[in-house]
Amino acid sequence: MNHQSRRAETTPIPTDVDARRDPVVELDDLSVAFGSGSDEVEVVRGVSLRIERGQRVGLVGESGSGKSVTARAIMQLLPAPGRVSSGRVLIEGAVASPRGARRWRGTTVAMITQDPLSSLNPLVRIGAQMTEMLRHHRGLSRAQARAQALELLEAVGIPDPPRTFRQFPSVLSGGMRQRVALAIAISCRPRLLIADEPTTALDVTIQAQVLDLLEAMSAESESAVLLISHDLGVVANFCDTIVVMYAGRVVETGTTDQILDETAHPYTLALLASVPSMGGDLPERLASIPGSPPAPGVVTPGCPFAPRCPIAQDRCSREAPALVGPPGRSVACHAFGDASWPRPVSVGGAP
Amino acid sequence: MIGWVARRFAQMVLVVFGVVTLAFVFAYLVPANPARMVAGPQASPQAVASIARQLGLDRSVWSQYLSFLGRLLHGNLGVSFVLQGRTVASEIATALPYTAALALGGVLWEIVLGIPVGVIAAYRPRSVIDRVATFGALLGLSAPPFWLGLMLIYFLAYKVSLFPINGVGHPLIWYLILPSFTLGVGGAAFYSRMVRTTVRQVLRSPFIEFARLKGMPERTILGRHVIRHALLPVVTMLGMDLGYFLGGVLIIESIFGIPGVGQLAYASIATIDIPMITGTVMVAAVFMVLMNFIVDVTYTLIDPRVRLRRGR
Repeated sequence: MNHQSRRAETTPIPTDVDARRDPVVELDDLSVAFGSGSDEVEVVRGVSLRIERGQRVGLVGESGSGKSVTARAIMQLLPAPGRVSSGRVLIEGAVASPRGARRWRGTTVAMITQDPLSSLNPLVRIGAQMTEMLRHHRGLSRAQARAQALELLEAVGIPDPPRTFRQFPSVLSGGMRQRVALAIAISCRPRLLIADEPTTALDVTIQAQVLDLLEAMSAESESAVLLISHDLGVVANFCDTIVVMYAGRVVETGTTDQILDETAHPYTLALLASVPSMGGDLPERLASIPGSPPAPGVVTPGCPFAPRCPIAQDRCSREAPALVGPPGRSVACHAFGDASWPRPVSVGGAP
Repeated sequence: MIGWVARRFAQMVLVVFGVVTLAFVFAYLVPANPARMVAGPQASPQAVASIARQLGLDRSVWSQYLSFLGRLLHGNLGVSFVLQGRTVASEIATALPYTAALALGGVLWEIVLGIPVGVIAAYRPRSVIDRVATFGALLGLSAPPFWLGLMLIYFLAYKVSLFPINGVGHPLIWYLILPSFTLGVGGAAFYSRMVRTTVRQVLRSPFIEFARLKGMPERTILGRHVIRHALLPVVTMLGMDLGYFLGGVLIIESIFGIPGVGQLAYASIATIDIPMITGTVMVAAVFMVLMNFIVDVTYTLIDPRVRLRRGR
């Protein structure tokens, strides 16, 4: 409880990207596998990631690329047969484990999930679902927790907080429920808020509102954000750093500007091409990436993207490219640096 | 809500009326003369006729039925044919406390055995506890009550004198432990399986994941988020069981010698004691209908998504 009040007093961190900041969460060569023995399927392979205080990191990739599993590995809440098969997760410098998670889960690192329609318990009043967390983590009295919850509901733009406090989730719309979920997630002022596809289940107009709210709330509580999405457009608007995953591996990292302007990986390029731009003329059809990602656990000796890659060479199906580049700007592609690579790319410059 | 209750009460009265009428009709369809049963096998035809006249059996069925309904509307269940001068109401009032205590005991066993075992098994699937619970449930479901009751009496009352063998006495609870266990064990087995399934399902739901993401301790998650969902189907079944038990479960009452409503009903059927038959049947019907009503109301208290409306 003490560190909570101290945290609230800390001065806002500078937004200067170059400033060296404390990492809130670090992933160190993290792999996640489901099953064991010959049935073992590795769905996340050697992911390293560093999220600093106040940073906004986007994790992008197709469904099945391991984004959500990575998030649950951070929370130490992998679904049943899943386990961290190698590597580790560091929360504020300490190695995270499922047993020790009660010290930081919900307080230092919080998370909202994809489906706001089902992430609230239909049989429990909104108020109880908010106050239980405040009372448990911050030791507030019933009245204090209620006051705090009403404030939070107000902050996330719920029109009549006292009324909503008494209501059950079923009477709220999807957007309202996601607001409530967000209010719950930030109620203990987490240092990192993981948002796993927070807008996917919502209408397009509501999506923008929720993203704005996510931005406002994370700024207000000085939380770093890890935004997970299949939509590069959403991530590019929101995040300052982007991590692109494909088939359980990180294939490219960089600042948003680097990813957009100096795209290094053909997969990222293909993702970008499939995002409709707001300004220009609409193409006849949106570009799509031919083929489909490999099934989870299918390990080929080469680059997992090679079968779908427009510039794949012989080498790509034989050996897997390593992720190269300084921290913050890296890419896993053989073609990278070759004369055949069609785009002006700089890797190794200032991150 | 008030409209719903009014409508529901009208339905309940209708159902009870229907059941009682059927019981009345069936009692008259039996090819035996109630007056002969009362008079005894050696009685002369004149004596039988005289008794029939006394009991009103010489009148037409319609006239008997109408006077029966007339009495019923005044809350009068009539006088026993067989037990001289004893009213049906007083007989039922004597028997009902035993049946009620037995029924509550049975339901209590269902709750204290069924729900915790189901929850524990759901939290530790395929563990030793789960396997033992599965096996126990199979036994509980397949053991016939008359066999189980006799086994319990033989081993726990006769071989080892832990419990009384038969009948009722003081304190009553002592005499009801074995009977109520026998009564409730089947339901307990069933509930443990049902609760296990529901809890397993609920534990996989997104709101449980979210509660865990919130950092809530597992105990709180169980108490606040899981149990309510697990109780929804149990409440329905418990209500129905209680309604059924309160009508008197003959097999348990006769094995353990409990003078409850079940035995009363059985004895009255054996002697074609028509007022007593309709009276005991009516008691059973009233409890069944009433418990159904209570279940529906309880449901709305647990699940806010269920609303009582007219026409449901």
